[in-house]
Amino acid sequence: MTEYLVRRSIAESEHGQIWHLSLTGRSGVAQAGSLKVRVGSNATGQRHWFHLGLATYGAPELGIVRRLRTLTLCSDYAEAVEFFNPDGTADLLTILLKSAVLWLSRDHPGVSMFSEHSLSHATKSDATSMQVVTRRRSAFFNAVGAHFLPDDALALKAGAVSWPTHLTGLLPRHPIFVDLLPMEAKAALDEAGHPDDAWCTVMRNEGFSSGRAVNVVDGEPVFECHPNSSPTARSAARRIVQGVDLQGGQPSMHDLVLLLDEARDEVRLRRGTCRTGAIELEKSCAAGLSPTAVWSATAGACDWLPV
Amino acid sequence: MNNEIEAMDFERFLMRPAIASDIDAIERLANASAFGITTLPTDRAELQARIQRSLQAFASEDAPSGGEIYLFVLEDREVGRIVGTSGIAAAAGAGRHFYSYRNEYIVHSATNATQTRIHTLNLCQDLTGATLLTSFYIEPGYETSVASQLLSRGRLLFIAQFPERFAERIAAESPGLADDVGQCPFWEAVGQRFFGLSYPEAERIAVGRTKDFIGQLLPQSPLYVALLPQSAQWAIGQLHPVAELPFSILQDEGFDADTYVDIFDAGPIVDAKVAGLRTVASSRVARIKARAGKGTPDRGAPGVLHLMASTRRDVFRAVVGMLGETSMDVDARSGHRLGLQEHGSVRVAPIEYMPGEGRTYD
Repeated sequence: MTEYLVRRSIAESEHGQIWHLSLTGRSGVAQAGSLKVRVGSNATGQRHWFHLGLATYGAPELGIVRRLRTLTLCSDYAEAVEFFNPDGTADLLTILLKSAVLWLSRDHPGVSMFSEHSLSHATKSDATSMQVVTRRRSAFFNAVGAHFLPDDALALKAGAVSWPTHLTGLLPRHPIFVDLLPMEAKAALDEAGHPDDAWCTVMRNEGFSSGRAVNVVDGEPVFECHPNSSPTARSAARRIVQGVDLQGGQPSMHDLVLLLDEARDEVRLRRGTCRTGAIELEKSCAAGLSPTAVWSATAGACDWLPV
Repeated sequence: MNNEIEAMDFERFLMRPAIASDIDAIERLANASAFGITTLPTDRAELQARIQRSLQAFASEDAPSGGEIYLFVLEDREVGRIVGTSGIAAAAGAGRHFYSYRNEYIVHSATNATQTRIHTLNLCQDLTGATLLTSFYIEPGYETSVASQLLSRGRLLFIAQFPERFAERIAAESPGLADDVGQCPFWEAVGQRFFGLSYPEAERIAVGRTKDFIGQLLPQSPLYVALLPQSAQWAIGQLHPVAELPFSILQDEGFDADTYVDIFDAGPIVDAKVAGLRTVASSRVARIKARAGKGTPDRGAPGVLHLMASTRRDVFRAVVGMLGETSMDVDARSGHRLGLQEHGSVRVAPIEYMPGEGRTYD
């Protein structure tokens, strides 16, 4: 049986608290993945995005009504938790993201979450798709960012842990009308993450959506999620663990649950069922877990992951 | 007609208010100048109404309302026909709104001293209420003659003579880049997005209508010029070739051409303080003397070329004539061309004109 375990290390930085989540899956073949989480308003206080809005103009006497998309500088995610540097397969990233949400549900309940789709997250085996995405990113930068930011802003963004705050004063303060931009720049905005990209898929499955904001440098879409939209956050609660002795011939449990071991600050993935106030695990899986209540959440049916 | 007119054959030209019987000629000129006279309608009935409105403005003894328009024609008396039009709108926007884009630059600074200077276009109503020079068109054969100076600058003498009827600030629109089938690079990139109309359609609805719809359809926030397509950027402040002559005359007068552009085609809108314009500032009132003072030249004799205009609004006339270098008086011959008797007053202003160039020089 494969056992998946997510560990967390916390670093304090001038950009807020950074959680480094690492996942190990132990079976015949070792698997690993990682995800970083930036927590705290200091992380994003100086950071801006382009809000994708809609402006309506009308001249009733002429029967003309026009709706135009706009990009307006915003700090919508200044108080939100950011996920970045995802690394791993879709399955592993799913466990990592759900684990992060479980931790957040305990430590920062109600806080919104976001992640910028990044080139580095795209499926690296799909070279052609990568080129398309790269070209669109460049097109957006050339059409917008290059007129406001230094030439090396793209490189700065790619290499920086956080937004280079010294550039904030260079950003445009007035709305930009998307319809006035070149076609390629518009296409970059229309691309809501690469369809083959594992991280995009994982985020969407967890309730994240895009289309409300993009990165100011390259137009990368921002995926965002309120806890109410996240199945993990919605089901996260402190529950008593109950071992269930399955009788011979009785099928195994079909669902997966996340368990937060607070003593070790680890999240484990087990077969089980979340109920109100209690979580049922197969007796063998419950062994070794704290007899007191633990933070837990559902992780969906187990057919997506060999556990 | 080109080259047939002697450059200094100025006595044949007369500028006067348009009258009802000019309708055929004005209609012909309006139709010949699709881009040159965007402020003149091509519809005959509308033109007739425009002439009537102008005649009322010339004749009215009422206090000015700001809604007056004055329409002038240029007669070539030697061939007996009208060869040009020009006009004045007492107040741009006529009590409502007059919109233009104002060129502005925004400087953004980063904390590491990096700076960027961003060119923006800001929708504004700065020129609302300013007096507007309109409707300039002269037949191509007359462009390089002194007639074009008379037709354009004669308006300024009129304004100088009746300042109470005009604003202290003055402006003039010039057509921007567009081709014969109505393709306009600035409109395609900007206006079309907000109006959802082709350039010819937009031009059509703009003529003879209040411009309130512009404020309703165009954003109040600045447009970043650098984000527009190259073709649109290049078109900003560029003249349509047909506008080069009237534009150069206004530039020579001292109009500023760098601040405002038209919201439709981004053609330049020049503006100035009336008092600072060369013709206005240098104009003075002279008297007609049967035996004009020493230095008043006969025709063809050395002298200084002057614009001359009658000082009565209802029978306004303007011509080009010569004044002696030291003379303070206008000779009877010029007075006669203005329809004035001896001792009548004439407003005069010197023009420095180089024959054949169709423009003046400092």
